[in-house]
Amino acid sequence: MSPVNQISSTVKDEDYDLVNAIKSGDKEKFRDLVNKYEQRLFNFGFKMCGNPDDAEDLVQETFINVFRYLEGFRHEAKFRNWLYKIATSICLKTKRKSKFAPEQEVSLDEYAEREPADSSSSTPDWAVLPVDKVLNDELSGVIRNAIVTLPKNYRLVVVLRDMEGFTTEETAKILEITPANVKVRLHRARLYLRDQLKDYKGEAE
Amino acid sequence: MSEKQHMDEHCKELCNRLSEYIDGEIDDADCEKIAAHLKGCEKCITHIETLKKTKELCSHLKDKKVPETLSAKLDDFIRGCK
Ligand SMILES: [Zn+2]
Repeated sequence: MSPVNQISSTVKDEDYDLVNAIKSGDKEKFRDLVNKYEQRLFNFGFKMCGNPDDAEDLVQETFINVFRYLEGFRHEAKFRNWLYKIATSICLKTKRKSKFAPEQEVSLDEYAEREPADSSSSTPDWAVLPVDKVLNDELSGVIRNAIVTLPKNYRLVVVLRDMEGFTTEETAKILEITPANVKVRLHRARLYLRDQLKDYKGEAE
Repeated sequence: MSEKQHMDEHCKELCNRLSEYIDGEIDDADCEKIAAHLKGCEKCITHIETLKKTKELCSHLKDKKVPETLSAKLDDFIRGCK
C-alpha cells in the first residue's frame, strides 16, 4: 500500500472539537462557529459580490447550509475549507449580477499569451512604495472595483488564493478544478488586476 | 532569429510563469533560469515588481465591518436552530 493510502482521512484541524460538539447536540456552540467565521465570510462575500447586501445574503445562506449539512461533514478536509466550498458553490449558483458589475464580462483571453509591458514605462509609484503607504481608501476602491469586473471563475480563484490565503491545492479542491487550472486562472486574474492599476497615480497629485 | 526576437520569446515564456515564480511554486532549475533572466532584463523586472505588488495589495485590503443587520439576522437564525 502506498503511504498516501495509509494517511487517515480525518483532518483534526482547529475546529475539530467545536464541530463535534455541535454535531453531538450542543447547538449553543454553533454560535461560536458563526462568531468565528462571520467576519471573514462577509468580507469574502463583499469581494465576490461587490456590495454589502449581496454579501449579507451569501453569509446567511452559507450558515444555513452549514447547519443543515454539518451532520454529514466527516472531517475529510479542514472545516474552513468545507465552509468555503459551501460559500463558493452558493456564489456560483447566484445568477444575480452585482449592480456594480459591467454589462458584459471582460475576457481574459488576451492574457493567455502575454508579453511583458513595454520597458519605456518604468515601475509606477504604487508598485515601488510600501503597501501601507499606497493602500489608501481610493486605491482599495480601485482594486475592489477591478475584482468585481473579473469573470466569476477568475474572481473566485484570486479571492481564495490572494485574499483568503488558501493554497493552490486547497483552492483546487474547493472549486473542484485542477491545481494547474488554479495557477492559470490566478496568473491571468493578477495580470488583469495589475492592468487596472497600471495608470493609478494616487490622490497626492 | 535575431537576438531581439530571441529575447522577446524568452520574456514571453517567462511571463507565463511569473505568478508561479513569485508564489514559490516552481522547481529549482526553472527558478534559477528565471532569476538569471531577470538579472539582465529591465522589462521583466518591471513586470515582476508590478505583479508582486498587485498580489501584495490584494492580500492587504482592509476588512469591512460586519453590518449590524447581518449580525441580527444570524442571531435570529441561531436562536431558531435549537
Ligand atoms: Zn525579459
